[in-house]
Amino acid sequence: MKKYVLKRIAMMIPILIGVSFIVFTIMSFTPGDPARLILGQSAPQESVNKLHHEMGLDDPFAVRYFRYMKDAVQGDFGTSYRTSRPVFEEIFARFPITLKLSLVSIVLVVVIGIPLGILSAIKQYSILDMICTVSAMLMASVPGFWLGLMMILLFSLKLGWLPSNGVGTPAHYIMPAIALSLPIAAEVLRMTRSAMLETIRQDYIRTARSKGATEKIVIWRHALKNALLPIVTVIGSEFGGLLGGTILIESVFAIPGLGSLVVNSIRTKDVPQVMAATMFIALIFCVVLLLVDILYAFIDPRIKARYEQVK
Amino acid sequence: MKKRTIALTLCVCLLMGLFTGCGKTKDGQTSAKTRDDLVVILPNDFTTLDPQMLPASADINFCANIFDGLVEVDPDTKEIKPSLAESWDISDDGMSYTFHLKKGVKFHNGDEMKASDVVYTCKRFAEQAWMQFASFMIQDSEAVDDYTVKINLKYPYANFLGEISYMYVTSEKYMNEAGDKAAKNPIGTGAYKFVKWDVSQQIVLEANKDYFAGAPSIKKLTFKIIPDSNTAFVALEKGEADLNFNVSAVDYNQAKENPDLETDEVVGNSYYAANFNSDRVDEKVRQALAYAIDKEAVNVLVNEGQGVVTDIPLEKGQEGYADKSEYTTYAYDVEKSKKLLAEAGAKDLKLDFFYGESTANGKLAQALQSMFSEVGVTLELKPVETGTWWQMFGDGDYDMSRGGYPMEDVNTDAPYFDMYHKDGTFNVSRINDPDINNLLEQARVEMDADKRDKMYVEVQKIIMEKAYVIPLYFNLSTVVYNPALKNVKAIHNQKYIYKNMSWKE
Repeated sequence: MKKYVLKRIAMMIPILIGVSFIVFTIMSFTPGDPARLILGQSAPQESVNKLHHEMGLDDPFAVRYFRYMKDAVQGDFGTSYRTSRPVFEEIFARFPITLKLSLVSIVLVVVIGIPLGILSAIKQYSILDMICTVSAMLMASVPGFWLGLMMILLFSLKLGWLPSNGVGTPAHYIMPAIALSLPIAAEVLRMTRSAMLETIRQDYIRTARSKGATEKIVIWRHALKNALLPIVTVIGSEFGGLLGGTILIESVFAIPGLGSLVVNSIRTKDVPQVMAATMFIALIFCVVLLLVDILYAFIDPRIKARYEQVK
Repeated sequence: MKKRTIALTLCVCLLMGLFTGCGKTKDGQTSAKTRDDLVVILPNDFTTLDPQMLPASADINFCANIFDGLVEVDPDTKEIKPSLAESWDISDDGMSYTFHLKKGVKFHNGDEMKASDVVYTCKRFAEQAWMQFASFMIQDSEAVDDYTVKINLKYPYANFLGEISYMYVTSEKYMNEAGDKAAKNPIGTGAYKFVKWDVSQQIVLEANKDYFAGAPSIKKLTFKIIPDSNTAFVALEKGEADLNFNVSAVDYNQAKENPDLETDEVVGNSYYAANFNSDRVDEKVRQALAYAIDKEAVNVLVNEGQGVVTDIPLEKGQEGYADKSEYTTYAYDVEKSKKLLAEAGAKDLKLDFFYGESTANGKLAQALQSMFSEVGVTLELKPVETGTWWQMFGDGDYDMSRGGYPMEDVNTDAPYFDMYHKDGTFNVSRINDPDINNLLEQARVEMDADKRDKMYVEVQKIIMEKAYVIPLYFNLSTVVYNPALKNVKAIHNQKYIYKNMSWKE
């Protein structure tokens, strides 16, 4: 198990190198001169050229990439072209906010999606099932930003219950978390329903029932545990996605998260900031996926056994 | 069973959330009596609060609340008024200005503002590329004594006092001690002290009790950064914020209908134009296409009709302003446009139009595209990021682009030179016309206002005759605010100074 985890951590290195290479390439080959951006539109061309040279932007692409990676490995990710401050300063200012929002959202996803999915599976074709399936479809098809705006209109403007923007108090997170979680909850609901439908027809469920286990134990211990793998997979990758920031919801609720940082940095061709932010997001995503895989081991002993075979 | 009830309730709640209609109830505004704070909405965060590194005029205007200049321009009369400088003398040849500073003015950290601080600031002001727009004529400066500063110019420049109002005085000692941190923790002499800056969230300022011109009435200023205009408007409607001067045209119309919000408007100083790259598009074609544009329609399409259509980037009363009859104009005329295009031998003409990506620019581009298609010219739209646009502009790699300028209060020289001179930093039309170059160079050092005025009119004549530029409109500068606020007026260049505002009793 330990070996497996270590191996997976080692595998993150090539992934991060790959991500850095792709992003660096794209940023290098899009037009726009960082030196010009730093000095401004009215700076004379000579000073732009001078800075261009000082920043080493005249060097060939490969040289620039290796120089960047060499510094990055030593922990120097550079300073933002836009704010001339270390790039991680801004990332770490924003990440806690994104993390909080993602956690609240994913808890909502679990609380809404899984119970409703189980319910509609065990009461297949009942009215309840219909309500759940139809509302899941609705939730999945309503765009989050629209839902966000509608909620602002209702709960902030008309009813005055919740603040419409910002991140000051826990109440600020309620609406954005709902807007973020509903489409994911819908997906989880459907996934849970179909996975549960499959497992409750299995022979071992019948066996469990016939040996006299209560319905509660049959559903939660026998059926759900076996249905859980695909659900955990979906939740895990969605959680990873949320941690990367969500530009639309961030902009609707004026939340200073990672998503708007990346988009703003791309717009202003702030290469160091974009590089650091995307690599950071990629790393977080990898870690979340690893956690999901470790979670598998606890859900399914067969997988645990396989992990332990890793040499 | 319990679980099912909970699940059902949840389900119903969600559905209710989705389907609840929009009723009409309105909360009253929060009572103003006890308030001494003000919440202002800004659409974008700043990159720095170092007054000599600010990249945009919006940021420079913001800093006017924390810092002071030697002089300031009165927003109503456009007259130069003393600020940190009590008075000033101008040498006979116009080459040097001696400022007599107010005594006892303190920076927010308690240090006294002295001539050495002004000299230090002036050096930075003249060196920083971002400030070149206002500092290009400065040679050097020297401290005569603790309260007297002499600034020497490279050549006599008639509107020097207007330009030096952009120089916000910083503390030499503090800037040196704080180093990089100074950009995030500004210290000035202004009416408001910096308190904190939560990146992308808010900036908080508090009243400077010891402000040399008297402590402001509003004690706490919070600037909330809300990028989405809908959300920003809700915050205003709800009373979470009190003032917004970046309201979209649609929201502004809505605000006018809302009895809980006060509005004001004035013709803005942002001038918009469609520019031809004169290296690539020849005169006849330019003139033809100038006839193809219905400016009123463009204004409706882009600004909901709120802009002010213009043929000249100046307002009445400004130096160089001339009546329409004095220069060529191109009234919308499709037939004439087609005829001229045929004469020019332009068949199946294809042009590209580059612009910085934004909603307003996109609408403008589409409007031009459809109008040009009426006369058989294809306009290819090329939205790009601002940085990319700067580079394309430097390389001259475009046929057409959106131009314009944030026009100044008293100075016609800087905008005209920038836009129309061959060495201008914002010469989007890539004009290199010997007559214009001559006129602008002469006007720059001409001290006689009447003579300058005539030269600028002459420039405008040539520009229009050769159709280098299609002038479009000025923006409408609007402000939406809490009706309980006093002394709020729309400001043409969005330089909102909060020390003058207060709450009604």
